[in-house]
Parts: sequence; structure tokens; C-alpha cells
Amino acid sequence: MKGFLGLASDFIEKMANPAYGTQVNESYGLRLAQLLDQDREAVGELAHMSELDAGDLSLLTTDGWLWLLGWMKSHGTRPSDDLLHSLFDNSNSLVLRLHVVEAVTTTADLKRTKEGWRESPPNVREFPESWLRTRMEKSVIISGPETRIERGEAALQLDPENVQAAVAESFELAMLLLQVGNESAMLALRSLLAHPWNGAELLRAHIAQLFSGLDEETRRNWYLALGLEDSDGA
Amino acid sequence: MIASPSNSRLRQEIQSCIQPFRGSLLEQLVKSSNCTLAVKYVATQWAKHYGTAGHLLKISTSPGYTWGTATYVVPICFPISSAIYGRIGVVGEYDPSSWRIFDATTSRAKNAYLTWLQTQFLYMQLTLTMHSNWANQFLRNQFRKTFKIDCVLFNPDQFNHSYTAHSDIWMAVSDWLPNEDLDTGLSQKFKNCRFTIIIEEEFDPDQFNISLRERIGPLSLRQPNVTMASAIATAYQSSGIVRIEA
Repeated sequence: MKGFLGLASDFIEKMANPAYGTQVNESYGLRLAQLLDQDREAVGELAHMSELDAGDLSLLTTDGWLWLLGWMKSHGTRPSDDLLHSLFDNSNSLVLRLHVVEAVTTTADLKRTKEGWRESPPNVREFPESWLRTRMEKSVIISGPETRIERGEAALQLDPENVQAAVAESFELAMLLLQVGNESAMLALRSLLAHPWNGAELLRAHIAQLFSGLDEETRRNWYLALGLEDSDGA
Repeated sequence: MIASPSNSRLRQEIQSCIQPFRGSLLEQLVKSSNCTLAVKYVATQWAKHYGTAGHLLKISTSPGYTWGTATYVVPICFPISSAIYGRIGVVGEYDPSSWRIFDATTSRAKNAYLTWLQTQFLYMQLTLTMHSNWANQFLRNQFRKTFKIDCVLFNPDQFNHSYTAHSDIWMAVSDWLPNEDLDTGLSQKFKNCRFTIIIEEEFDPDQFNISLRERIGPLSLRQPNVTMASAIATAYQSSGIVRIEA
């Protein structure tokens, strides 16, 4: 499938890159739809590219990955955690990061077990969606040193400078989850904000600052939805 | 359900711009042509594909589209309005009776969308980023998903003086997945799609890619829309083809 994706990369580029214009994008999109309509097995193969990993990042351009993420999402699936972390970490593209978070939270299907989390969201360490769990663990520095070393990262100490960096990372993740706004994203954000760690207060302060521009009713609704206390005293 | 940072007044304003089919502008358009047919123009390479029955229209996923991921068609009462996009007119039937319709031809609805846009948490970052086409597509999809909009009506944003009038109305129609996300495959909203129109013209974009110039015509007087729409509807019912002269 990797080879197939590599061979198809030019085709996907013509379908996804807006620089080619909508008519070229459309024509290639219709061609793919026609091919997949004639070969239903190919849909399943394309939708389940779980063997793609971080080393496959160069197979597609950013436009190609954006298209593939959307296409897989609409088929109820997503690439492997490994590939998604690599896309997220290496692209530096806000749009791509947003699409990664959207793909993960849309396909997460956390509804079945969500009832029990209405009062108290799952602990970050036990969050049921693996990519989000790793992301949240990483951002609040609760990964064990062994895990970080396995990833080729230096072990972090909880000194003030590292806490500031971790808060910045966790706030970026929080913003992406807020913007996606679906139920799984909101659940992940509640877990992140409820997690006790050195940067928790600072992260909540950033969120409070973000909400301070909202009107009273909207702000109150957001605090309620995220399980936070409204210190502005609405 | 998608959480939205917009306040209740803005949400009410947006909701008031979303109408059921009954009483909507789309109902007026359907009444004016007396049928629920829509047309999409495609390149000639698809003529034979749509020459036989049973094919579906492709949902447009290109990030360059005005209202995001949707099936872009035109009500049959503007029969050649989008002919600038292809010589082959594919006609299909639709059932709008349960649709929630956002009429973005009005300043009020456009303002409501723009105001909503500015309330988004990542508005500034997304507006100022590269990949702006993808950012816009994300936001437009987010808006339609948040308010469960089945159809956006909007005025054309590309033109040709004898085919496309500024006041024509185009449609972006949503296909929903069970998880309330937007589908990206083949649209189930348009049935019995069939090649029914040949446009004897081709178009070139001008330097701004807003207006498109004819390569051949005009060689003949254009018939009124109502006459062409009636002929197309009749041809569609009888599996015929209507030729529109340059």
C-alpha cells in the first residue's frame, strides 16, 4: 500500500492542491470516485493504511496529506498514531495540525463510554483515544523518562522554564481542540484541564484569558462545558 | 454537536437565516421552473459516463470552493449559469423538502457568517496562515456542520456576461455521514443524474480568473432561461439531449 500511495502521489496532488485550480481538482476527484466505485475493495484498502508510519511522511505533500486525512475521516478511519505524530510535529502547519486533531476526534467514537465521564472526565493517562492520550501526556510532561528517551527526546525536569514550554504546548493543543469543538475534542480538553500538574494553573489562566473576550452567558457556558470555575464571577 | 464560541444572539441571528424549504428562496426557484431538477456542468471526458443512467454526482472536496465540501449545482431555472465549468450538463433530481437552507445571497446572512467567523478561537491564526484555501474550507465546513445546513444558496463568484448573471443562484448541498460529518464521496442527494445538455462553447479565464471569456461565440441570440429550462426538463424526462448554441 505504501508503494501504491507513492505511485498515486501525483494523482492525489492534482486532486488536492488548489494551485491546479478547481477544475483540475474536480476532474481528478471524479476519476478517483469512479475508480473506487468500480472497485469497492480498493476503498477499504485505501481507507486502512494503518501500516504507514513516520518514515512515510515524504510520500505526499501537505495538500496530499490534508486530502488523505479528510478522505479517511469520511470513511471512519485515520492513519496510525506514529504517522499522525510525525505529521503534527514536523509540518509546523496550523492547518495540518487542525486537520489531524479533527481526524482523530471525529473517528474516536467515544460516545459509548461517555456517559460515565459527564461528571468527571477520564484521567489523561487513561484517555481512551491513543493519539490524544500520548499528545496530552507529552504536553503535561507526565511521560516517564524511558518513554521520552525511546522517542529520542531528552528527559525533562519540571523546572520553571520547562513548565512554561509545556504550558505553551498544551495551550496549543487546547486551542486546536476548542476550534474542532466536537464532543470527543471537548472531552479531551476537559481531561487536559482537569489534570493536576505543575502547569495546570497557568494553562487554566491562559484559557480564562481566551474566554475573557466572550460575553457573560457564552463564557459561563464554556466554563460549564469544560468543568472550570468562572473566576470572573458571572 | 459542535461547540461554538458565538453568543446566543449571534446563534439566533444565524438560525434566523436558515429556513426550511417551505417559504425559502429555493422553494420560489423550484416553483418558477415547476420541477426539482438541478444541473452540474462537467468536462467532456465525462459525457459517456453520465450518458447512461445510475451515476451520481461527485461531492466537491477541492479547497477552492466557495462554501466548502459540498455538491455544487444550479437550480434548473438558471440552466446555463455554470456552463463556464464544462460543456456537458448533467441533470439530476433532488428532494429539498426536509432541507435546512442558508440563504447566503442576502447581506444579512453573509454578515452573520462573517461575524461567526470572527468569533472562532483560531480565527486570526487561520486567516493569516498559508494554506488559506484549506483554512477557509475548514471554517466553512465547520459553520455548516455547527448549524446543520443542508444547502447554501449563493450568488456566482465567477462570470460570463451571456451565461452567468450576478443575480443567478447556485447551490452547495451537504451530504451527511452518520456521525454528522460531511461526506466526500458520491452525492446521494441527486438521483438519476444524466447527461442532458451540450454547450457548444468553451471558456478561458481572464487574467483575474473571475470572468471567463467565450472562445467561440456569441454566435446566436440567447433564449430566455425559462424557455431553456423547460426544454431541458422535457429532454431529461425523455432521455434526450439539448444543444445550446454558442
